[in-house]
Amino acid sequence: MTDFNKKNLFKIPGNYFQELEHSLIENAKAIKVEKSLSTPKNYFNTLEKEILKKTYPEKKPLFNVRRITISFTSIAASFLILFILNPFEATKTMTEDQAFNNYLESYYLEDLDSYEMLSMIEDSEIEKIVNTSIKP
Amino acid sequence: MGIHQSLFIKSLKEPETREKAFRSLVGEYKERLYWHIRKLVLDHDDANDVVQNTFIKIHLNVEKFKENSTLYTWMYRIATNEAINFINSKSSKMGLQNQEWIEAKANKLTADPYFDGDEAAFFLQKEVAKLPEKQRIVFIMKYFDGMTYEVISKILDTSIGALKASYHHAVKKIKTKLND
Repeated sequence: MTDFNKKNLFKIPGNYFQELEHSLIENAKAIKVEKSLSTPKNYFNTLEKEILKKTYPEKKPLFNVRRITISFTSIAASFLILFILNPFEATKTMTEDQAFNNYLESYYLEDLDSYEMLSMIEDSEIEKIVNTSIKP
Repeated sequence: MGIHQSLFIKSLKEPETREKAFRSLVGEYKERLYWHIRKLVLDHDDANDVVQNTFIKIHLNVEKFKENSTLYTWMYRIATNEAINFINSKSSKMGLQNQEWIEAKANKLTADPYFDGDEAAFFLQKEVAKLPEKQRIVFIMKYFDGMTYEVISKILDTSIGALKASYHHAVKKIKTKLND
């Protein structure tokens, strides 16, 4: 009878079993951690759809009678409002307001201490606040 | 770099073949990148935000990919950066250090419906969260993700020596806590 072990024609890379063991242990560790952290059911299917929706939004038909009608009506209404309200002033104010809010939120409220914040308020306003709070 | 990867990258860069190639990229890497990010940010909803941002960034910047690293390394670098930026932004909004924010997340893991770990897993997560940021990232990539120092070095653009030192310090700290 032939001794298969002695006449094994197949070879393996040096340290193969050590590396195999190492990689199996590493995989097992990763699986253990991934097992303790879970995801909602079917999450990865939803995730793929979400990513593709954001990167390749669905193309809508070029001509749509209803959309064109709505668009023309909207444009006409916009012109009407434009003459009545003079929106140039409003847009300017809104942009400035927005910029100021962003400026306040992103810098002042994060970095100022209470003394610096107080220095931004008018003296008369401080007096008003103090008087109101002192009254019984 | 293999011919197969070069062709794939070419198809990602060319507008005519880009969508098909990107779909296949998302299919191939979504789970791997998600789990990498999830281990860094801990919370599922946060990981979901970060993984989506990561793929959007990959999509927007694939033309700039220089091919002097593998696509896999490049994507992991983006994912790691996105996770770190996310943590920076969340912690600074709450007036916390990154480490404090992660520690708070780790301490709440038992209340997380998407955490099924036992007491030992919870303890390990809490201890890993206490590590300084760089050590924590290296520990996660080496111990949990089973990456080699060579790969981590390419992803984090850090020398292998520095990575070994970080990992060594991290393991030492965790072992000390486990023995206490």
